[in-house]
Amino acid sequence: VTPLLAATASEQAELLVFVVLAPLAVVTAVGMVLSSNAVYSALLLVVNFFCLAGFYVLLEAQFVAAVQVIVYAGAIMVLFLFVLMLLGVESQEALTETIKGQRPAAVLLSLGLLVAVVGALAAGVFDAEPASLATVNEGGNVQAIGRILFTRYTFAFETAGILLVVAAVGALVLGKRQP
Amino acid sequence: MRVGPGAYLLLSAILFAGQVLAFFVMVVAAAEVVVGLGILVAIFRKRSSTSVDDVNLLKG
Repeated sequence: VTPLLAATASEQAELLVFVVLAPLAVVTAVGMVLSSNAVYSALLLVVNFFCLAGFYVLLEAQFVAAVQVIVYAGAIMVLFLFVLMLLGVESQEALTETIKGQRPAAVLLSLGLLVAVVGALAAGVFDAEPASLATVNEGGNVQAIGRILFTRYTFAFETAGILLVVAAVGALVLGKRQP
Repeated sequence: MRVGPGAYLLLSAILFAGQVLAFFVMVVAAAEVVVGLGILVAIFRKRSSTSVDDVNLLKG
């Protein structure tokens, strides 16, 4: 991170927004995991998604930010809350382990992930300066994403469409009342 | 800095790979949530409980 005084005005604004959003994102994420009430968890997750959208805006990824708010925080979380309300909220915590060695394995894997992330940061994987993002974003972020989505990633895009259709049909079949 | 169309495609392919990946992650998450919640509703209809730890029909 560049020193506060040496940065330009826009960099200072960027840093300010980040300093506000980042702790909020961490607090809401931890609160979402620790909350015993499922509805509170879902609402904290919505706040966290909005923080993520803010990060995307800071990274000049406006399309992903909009999708994050509309699809993730909007549609997916509303569906989540809808099902939560429909099934009723049970707030008793399951303290018995049903899978043997679940907790040690979880701790071990979390530590492994932490080591990997810290190692990647220390090795400077993310140090590269994204200097040409403004150049490519020139004609508009959405246009650029659309162009690459329908040229290089056409196959993945169509596959995602099939996946969504299959998921919708599957949900329909699962949700259908058995005769 | 202006770049030619070929360099532009190459550059955008590199720079937008992350954004496209984030987009696809969201798409897959949407599909997952739909199926997962459908399964949860089906379990609730069958057992009147949403505790997934109690579901052990496939346990050998």
